[in-house]
Amino acid sequence: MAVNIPVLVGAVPLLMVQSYVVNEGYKAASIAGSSLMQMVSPTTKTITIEALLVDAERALRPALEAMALTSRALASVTAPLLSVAGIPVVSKNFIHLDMQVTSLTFTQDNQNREALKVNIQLTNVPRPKLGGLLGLADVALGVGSAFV
Amino acid sequence: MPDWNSRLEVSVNGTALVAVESVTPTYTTPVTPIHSIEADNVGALYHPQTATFTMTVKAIGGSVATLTKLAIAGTKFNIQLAEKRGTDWTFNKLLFRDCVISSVNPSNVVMDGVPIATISGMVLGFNADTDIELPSA
Repeated sequence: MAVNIPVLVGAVPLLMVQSYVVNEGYKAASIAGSSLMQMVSPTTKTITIEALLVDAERALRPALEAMALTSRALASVTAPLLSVAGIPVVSKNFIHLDMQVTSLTFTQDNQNREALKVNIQLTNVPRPKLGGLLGLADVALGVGSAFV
Repeated sequence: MPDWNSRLEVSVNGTALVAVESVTPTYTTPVTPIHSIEADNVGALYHPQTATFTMTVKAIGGSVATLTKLAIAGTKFNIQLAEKRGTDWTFNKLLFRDCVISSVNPSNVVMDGVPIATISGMVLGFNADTDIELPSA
């Protein structure tokens, strides 16, 4: 049986990821009065992760919230760290650096006992100083480990 | 080899039912496996548990009438399965509290024999420790 490799969001291991969606591309704008397209810039990369936190794993919720800066107090503690580097998101098939949590949804419903459903949306926020370089590092890591 | 030399009794709110043909209680305990994006069966997800019952009772005596009235009034009642005689049953007692009848077919009148009533419903209280009584070894 396949080994259950977790998806690491920062330091938080998610073992029951249901889906992992990466959205990336290059923005193109059509030029008025012309049939040509202008390639503008890479679109902002986003990742959407759907996962379950079952039983004891529900204790990971505060750790995710800390990364998502859900309160001013957390922001003051965590934000200085995030200004140096974003959240790395590592899975078997993808490595994404400099991500930032933009939305975090926890769902507790009456159908799934002792479990939380979590939806995490992350957006790529390149750091100004190292932005270009890390972007490349991201690609290099990705190519080097495309099928670990 | 254990023998079966016992008789069970079904009672509704403490009164024994007359001419019960069969009682089938069912506990439904749904659990689904969790698959992650990397591996199968990495955990289990528990869903709400339910219990239902179906019984067929000969429409003689007062039992069927009582049950039909309970059904129409939507009254909650208790069903108890217990050993009346003997100790062969794996349980000592099964108690289903707060039962509600969802369907009752009070009498299918037939040419020969006794009319049969079929009653089915749900159990709202079944998971307390005292609901399943085991023989005291």
